Amino acid sequence: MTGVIELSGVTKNYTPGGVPALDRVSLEVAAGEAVAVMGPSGSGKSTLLNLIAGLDRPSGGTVTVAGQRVDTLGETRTARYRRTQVGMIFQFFNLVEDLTVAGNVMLPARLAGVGRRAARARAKELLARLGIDRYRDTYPGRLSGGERQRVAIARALVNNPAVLLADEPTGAVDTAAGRAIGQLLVDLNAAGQTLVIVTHNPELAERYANRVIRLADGRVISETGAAVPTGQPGPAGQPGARP
Amino acid sequence: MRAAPVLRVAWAAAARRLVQSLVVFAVLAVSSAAALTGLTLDAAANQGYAAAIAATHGADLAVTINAAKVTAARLAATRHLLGVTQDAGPYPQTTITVATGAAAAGRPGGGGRAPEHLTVVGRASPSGPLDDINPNPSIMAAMGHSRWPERRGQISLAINTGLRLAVGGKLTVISAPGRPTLTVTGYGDTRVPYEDAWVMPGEIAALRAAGAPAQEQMLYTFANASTAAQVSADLAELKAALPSGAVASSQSLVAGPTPVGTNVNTPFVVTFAVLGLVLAVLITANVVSAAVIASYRRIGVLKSIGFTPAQVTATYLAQISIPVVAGVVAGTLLGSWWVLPVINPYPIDGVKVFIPLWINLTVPLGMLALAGLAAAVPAVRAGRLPAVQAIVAGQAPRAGRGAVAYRLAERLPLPTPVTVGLAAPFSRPARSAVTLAALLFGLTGVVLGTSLNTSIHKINNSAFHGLGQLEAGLSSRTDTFSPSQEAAVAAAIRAQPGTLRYVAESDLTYSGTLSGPRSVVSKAVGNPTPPVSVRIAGRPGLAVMAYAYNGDSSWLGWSLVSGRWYNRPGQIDVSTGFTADTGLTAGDRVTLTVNGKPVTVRIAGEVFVPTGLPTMWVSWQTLDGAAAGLTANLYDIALTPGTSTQAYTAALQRALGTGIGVSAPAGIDTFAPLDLPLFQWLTVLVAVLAGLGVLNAALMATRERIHDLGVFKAVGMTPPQTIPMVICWVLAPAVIAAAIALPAGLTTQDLLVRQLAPGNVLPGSFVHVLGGTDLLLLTLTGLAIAIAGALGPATWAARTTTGAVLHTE
Repeated sequence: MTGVIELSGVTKNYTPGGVPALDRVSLEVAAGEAVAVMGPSGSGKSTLLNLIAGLDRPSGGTVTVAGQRVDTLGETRTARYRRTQVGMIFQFFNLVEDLTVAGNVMLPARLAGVGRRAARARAKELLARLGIDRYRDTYPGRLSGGERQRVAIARALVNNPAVLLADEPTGAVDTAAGRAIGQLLVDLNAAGQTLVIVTHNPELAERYANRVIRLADGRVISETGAAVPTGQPGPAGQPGARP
Repeated sequence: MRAAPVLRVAWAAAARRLVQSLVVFAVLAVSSAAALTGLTLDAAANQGYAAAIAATHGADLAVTINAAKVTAARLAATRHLLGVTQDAGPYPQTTITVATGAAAAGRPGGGGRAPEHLTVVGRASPSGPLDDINPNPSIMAAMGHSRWPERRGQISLAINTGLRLAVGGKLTVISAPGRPTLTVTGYGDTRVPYEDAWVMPGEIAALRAAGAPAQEQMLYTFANASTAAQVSADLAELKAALPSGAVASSQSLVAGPTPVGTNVNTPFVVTFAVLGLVLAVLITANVVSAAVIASYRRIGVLKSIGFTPAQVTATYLAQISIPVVAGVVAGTLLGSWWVLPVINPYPIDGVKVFIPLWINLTVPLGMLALAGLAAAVPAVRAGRLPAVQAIVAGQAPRAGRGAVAYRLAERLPLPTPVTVGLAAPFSRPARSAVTLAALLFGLTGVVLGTSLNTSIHKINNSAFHGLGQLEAGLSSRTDTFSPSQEAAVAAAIRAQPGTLRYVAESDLTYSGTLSGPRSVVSKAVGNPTPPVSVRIAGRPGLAVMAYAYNGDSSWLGWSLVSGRWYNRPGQIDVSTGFTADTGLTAGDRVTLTVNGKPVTVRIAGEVFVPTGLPTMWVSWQTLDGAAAGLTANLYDIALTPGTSTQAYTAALQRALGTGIGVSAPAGIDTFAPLDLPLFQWLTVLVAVLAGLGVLNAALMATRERIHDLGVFKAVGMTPPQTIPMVICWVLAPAVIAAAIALPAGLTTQDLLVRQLAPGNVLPGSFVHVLGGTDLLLLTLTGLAIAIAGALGPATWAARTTTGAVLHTE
């Protein structure tokens, strides 16, 4: 395996002896690929994402991201890994309500040791790119769902992560906002960002990913779409490749 | 309303939130204990004394009547006055001057007991309608078996006089015609010491000085006599009912300068109790409100499955009532268990004091009401919310505040977790204000307690100031050495290895005419007429203590309030009581009358003594020394460093022989002994409450921000970084609280401790007891309390699994 993300025989049990949330899952995501992970509720989609992000630890198997074994890292090193290698986008945004939009975006950069001015400049750049620079000094509570998700995306990108992980990124926003968010993700992938999206929406998966992995009962039951060779943008980056 | 599902949900919630429940329990327990302790201590002091007075039928008022100015019938009629509940008398009364030895023989300076004034009442029996006297108190057993006088020529002395003669000893009444001798039959113990001694009623006439008016004592109790104002009103009614001039004087232990039964600990205890109650209010309200608000979402869920609004409210109140009730009960029991042995020594042996019933009811009910009110407001509000709003209220994003604080904190050259932590309290200003207030009161209590303990320790120790390490004297401080004895004693002290320095001391007391209420303290000292008479010109009625020294006395270490110790003849030092009574102060001149001869002196300095008596310190030379008849009462001795006190005492005692005692000084009377262990306990209680307040604040913040914690960790904050962040959540309020608490606590201590002193004057070193290092340590202690309180929640936050927190979404 030579992908950016490599899972090998990964199992996750939340209760000993119970039904595993993931059962000997192996998969690989190449650099620049956009992969959608689909499945019904309880299939293990979010668990998979959490393991890649280091938010949780597998009961068995290995998880490697950008050449680093994530499953063996301690809490501190996992946190440092998340700062620089992973950008997380959650369904319910998970912004810090007491920080302004700019403060939220700057946070991972500041934790990574970036100076205040540089972090602020980077945040300004990202917010402008995402079209929400005018909300820089606003609190998240005053924004719409779509706007909050854009803030979350900006935060996820601030340290130029190797991988962007999105867990139901459009699940808590309206249709129009969801489309806009989806297009944003497409654009990011087209620019070379490796993307893993968890969704239960087949239309979303078809539109924004070039490969769909389906899970059921913790196992990969199918994969559709072409795998992209390492280093090349996926079909999502080619005009007209999507309906 | 079905109770079962309500209680089921309530119990499950309380059990699941065990830490929160334990904090509520602990806060309510400590607060209830503090409230009960404070109220009980305040009530017990007067209750105890009142109980003891009631048990011995003590009189509220003793009146000295000029018998020549009122008829017996008119006097008897006073018992029917409105307000008089009981009366006793009239008992014949007179004032005598007694002496022993050479002084009795009229040879001043010849040794023996210096003359003393005694007020004597003629009573055939120690018991009567009022004022039961114990004729054989066990405390005086060492003097012999005491009994009441049975015939003329016998006298029983009140233990309050301070006179100590063995049973069978002789007193000469030098003021009475023929200088009769009385045999001491023993000592009487009365709870209301309006007189100094008792004889048979028929003896009084023979003891009366030539030309002295016939006097009688009447004792009264009244329906209203618990305050000085009430007693004054009662006395006014009596005077109005009697002819003018019939009332020569009166005394009441309720209305005296230091009303006996007043507990000088009271202002301090009340202050601590108030602090404790305020802390309890703040912490309880904070805890309960936050707990309710944190459960809004759950309440919404309950409503969505069918709980009525009333059931939702009841669920929440029931959940919080479990630790609240348990805490209040535990605290009431704990407070009762602790305070009972404390209050019983207060008064008077044989009379047990119990916690008043109203306190046993008020404290638990009050604390329950307080907690209930704090919980009811948000609980009722939640009960009324539509289900969907309750769910949303538990989840909805907050408006967000504190942008300025974050911006300012961001500029600090500190790591991001620290700056985020420092700014966080400002995003919840109302909650942070309550936390700040709790910390403020708690830290104020700690500062107050610490400085107060040090002050009180110094005040209590001041009873030993000015007394030397050892003293050599005769059996009573009012006995004097003869000139030959003086020379021998001084030579022996000089010759004794280990003697660093010594000085001869004469204790002189001029007794003017004491009228009006009599202070118990002056009673204890006694009012002897010295062989040397020292008065203040123009103030014949002012009773002044005087210490006269022959030699260098500057080393004795009396506590100077202002000025300096006298250093040449013609100078004196005076006490704060002296300046309060005369209006004179350091630098002023005053004319003394020494054996009738005027002597003008300058006041060199003002001295603090823990009694209320006007006192002066003067050299023999200023008073004209032996020519004036001065002789020493005792010698104050200082030892060279490293000298064994025990060995020196034994050696000097051998050298001096029997009749002269060598011992450590007993210490002079203080205006009131202050209960240092009590204040230490109260300080600890308040510190515990302050710590609980911090713990509570950190726990609440951690719980409320658990989601934020998960996000911080998700974007890369390491577990070790979350610890300082959580600590900083409470550190900013703690620093602000400490900055305010330090001056607040010291100011309060200043105000309280000065109340103890006559004229509210104390040496600065007794008030400003904390130096720079102490203040720094106190500040650090406050911060340490804050950090210690936050450390547990901080560590828990660091260990929280990020996925578990965010996964709940």
